[in-house]
Amino acid sequence: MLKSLIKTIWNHLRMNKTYAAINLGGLAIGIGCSLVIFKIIVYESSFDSYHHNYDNIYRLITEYQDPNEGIKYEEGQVPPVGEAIRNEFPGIDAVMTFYAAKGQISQISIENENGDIQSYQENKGLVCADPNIFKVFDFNFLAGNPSQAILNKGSVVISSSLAQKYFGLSEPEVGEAMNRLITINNTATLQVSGVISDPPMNTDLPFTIIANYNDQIIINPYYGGNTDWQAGHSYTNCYLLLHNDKSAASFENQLLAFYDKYHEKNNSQDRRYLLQPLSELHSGLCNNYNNRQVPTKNLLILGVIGLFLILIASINFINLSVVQATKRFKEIGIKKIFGESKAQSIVHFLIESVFIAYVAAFIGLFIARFLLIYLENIIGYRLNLDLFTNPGILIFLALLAAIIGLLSGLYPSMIIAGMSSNVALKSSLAVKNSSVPLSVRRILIIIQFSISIILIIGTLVMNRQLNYFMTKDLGFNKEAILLVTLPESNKDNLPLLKANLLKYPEIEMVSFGTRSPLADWRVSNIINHPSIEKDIYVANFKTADEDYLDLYKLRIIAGQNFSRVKNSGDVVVNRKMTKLLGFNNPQDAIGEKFEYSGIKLMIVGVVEDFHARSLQRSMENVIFGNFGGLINEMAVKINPVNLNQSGYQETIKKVQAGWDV
Amino acid sequence: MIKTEKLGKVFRTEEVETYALNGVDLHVKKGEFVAVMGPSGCGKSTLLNIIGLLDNPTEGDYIFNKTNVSKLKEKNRTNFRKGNIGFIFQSFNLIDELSVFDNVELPLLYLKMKASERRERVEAVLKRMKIGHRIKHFPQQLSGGQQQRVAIARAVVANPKLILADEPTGNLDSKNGIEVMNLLSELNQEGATIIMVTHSKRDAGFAHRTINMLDGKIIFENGNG
Repeated sequence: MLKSLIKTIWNHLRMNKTYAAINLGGLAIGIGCSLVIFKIIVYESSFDSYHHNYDNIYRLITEYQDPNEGIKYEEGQVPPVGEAIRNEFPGIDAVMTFYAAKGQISQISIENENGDIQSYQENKGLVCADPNIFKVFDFNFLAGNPSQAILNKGSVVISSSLAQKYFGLSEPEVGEAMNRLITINNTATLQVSGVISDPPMNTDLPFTIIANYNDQIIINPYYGGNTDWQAGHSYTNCYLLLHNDKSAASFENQLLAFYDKYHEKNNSQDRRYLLQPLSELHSGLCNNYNNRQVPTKNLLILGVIGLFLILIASINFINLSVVQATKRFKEIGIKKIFGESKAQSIVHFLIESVFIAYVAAFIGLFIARFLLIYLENIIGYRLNLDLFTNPGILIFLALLAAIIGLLSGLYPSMIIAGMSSNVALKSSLAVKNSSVPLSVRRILIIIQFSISIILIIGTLVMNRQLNYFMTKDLGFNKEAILLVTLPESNKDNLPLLKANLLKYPEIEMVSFGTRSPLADWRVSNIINHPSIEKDIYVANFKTADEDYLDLYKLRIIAGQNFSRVKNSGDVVVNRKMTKLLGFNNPQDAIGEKFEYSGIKLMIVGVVEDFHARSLQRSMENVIFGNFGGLINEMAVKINPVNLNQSGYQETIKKVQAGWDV
Repeated sequence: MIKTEKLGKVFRTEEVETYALNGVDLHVKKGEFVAVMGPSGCGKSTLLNIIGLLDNPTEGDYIFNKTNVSKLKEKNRTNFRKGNIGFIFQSFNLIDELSVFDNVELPLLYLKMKASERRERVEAVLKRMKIGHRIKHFPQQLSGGQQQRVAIARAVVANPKLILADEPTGNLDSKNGIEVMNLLSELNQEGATIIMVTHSKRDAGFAHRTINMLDGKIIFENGNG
């Protein structure tokens, strides 16, 4: 019986290829896409959940009142905060502070047996952390003792991959890296005291070189020791491991008095500490070291889109199945005449639709697999289906296919099974008899079309938004500029590099600065001036050389560019800042002095306002000055007219060659 | 074998009542070949549906082999049909998605017969219908005459006591039509009871007697010698 049924299903699909392609293909694509979305949601929700203390780890963040933007949150802390909390609250399981510079390139030098130096550049993973890092977070030690590894200055823990890379070891030999020396940024030589497994993909703390907190000078030239309560930095983060019976909310209350005790300038009415659960590091307030967050809202939207897709595909499948079923009254009628019972009819129809849904799900798996490969370039990471290590997907798919199959089969099967055999036979000639299924189908089609329209409108809106982002005038020029992140090493040769690069006809200008005009990375501090309330307003300070304003075509509306001389105290500000200081006419602000983080500066020029942060945010107060330090980025302006056929790639090679010299 | 007494069938809608059959008394003996004739809408097919247990009468009694089957539920009618009644239709009504073999095997599947026995029976009946060489073909690959021979094979494969044929030659040319009628005659001579609805006097000529109907009633019947 079953053999006959499968034969019928197979032949039915074979003889109705268009129907089979649309129906199977539609559902398979729907299932494939939804599966990809499901995988992305699961992946994005899984960040750092592998730490066994996951539920009890919190990041210390600061809530404060911004005069322009209302309540804001800041992840950066002052260096001594961790130790102070440890001393004040002995009941806390563990407190740890680290300094990890996002996007900073570090140079690692290894001296081999022959005395030759081999250098490597690492653009990620270097952290200087309190030894408690291994108590709070899970790191799998392949060699070394977690409780001793970075107890003292001068020691460093590295990942298995780096141990292999630096010391030419094979994977089983990584333990041999122990006690060997690595020099970081030509500043300090550290001894390997531990080797850990490479961090998994789903962590926002993917550290591969872990040094002692007090060796911070290797990556933070401005580190003033562990006592400075003023030098807050977004790269300094503090994590707490609370005991199971300790509530975060009650501890936040205890931290109010703590804040007042250690921060003289700001009292806890304006600023206070909050505890952010580790589970919100990837989605919630404040950025993380990985510099990639996915808000829960976005995952929800993605989930809804996934549901919509599967809903459309299912409704389409059901509708086509019902239409197809009406063409099969004859077959059902004949089978009934020759002895098929009502129950058999229903079961046969259900088996058939569930079977087809399973075939579609199977094809969907392949679609998902290929989509995940293709999407790597877009989402930035490669996910695998992991069907056998993660049976959840298979169970999910099996249930999904069963539900879709049952829903699409149940409805026509009930109608057909309910018909007496001679009616079913006659209906094969007059399908219009089935007025009831048509009305339900109409409802299904309306739902399907409505969802499609919502998705189409969503796509159009998104397209317009993207178009807006791509074409919106940001107030500065961003075309034909190459940005090169500079490593944290000797900057004395930068003028020579600039001179060498300018010899190439296609390189029009070169400028060094902290970051481009619009950048996430920013240095913001308090500004003071007699015309504004004390210690309330902040400005974004951008260190730059004298070619910066010209390179980015930032329009000077009053005064002139700042001095070529470093640390002269001359600065250029934006129009918004002159307004804040009480000058409606920018010209009147020229020569005016103000304080930035305690340093006296003088306005020598004013530029028109531009977007220094996301378009969603309001304009900021911005200061440009030539201050030498914090030079992290080189901007190279290309003259496209002089480019040869190989275009930018050729120029990039030249920049690279210039750097290597 | 078949006896109907005052058999009636009324189709009711909200507005009208239509008598498709009205007091039909019919008696068919075992081994008889009966033709039913009459203009369209006279109730021939309705009578055949009731005799074939595809439908119940609204009035009267229907006795099949001494069992009153006029008030059987759908499920019981289905069970009763299995192996007892074979059907042949004007439009063949073969399942397009099944091969010749699978179509003919269909009635046996519901009799829970062993696969080997089914194969034996299907092959034998197809050979007899001179269509054994087309066993793996699909209905669309056959001519009309061949399709009807497959349909006859399907009707007789379970050795039913009664064969009902609804205009079996209606879609065939005269050569194929005569072939089909010869086949039915042979089956009848071998003991099958046949009731056939037809518009064709030629086909009726193959039967032992012809029943003529009008407006849901039998108006007269005549023997064919």
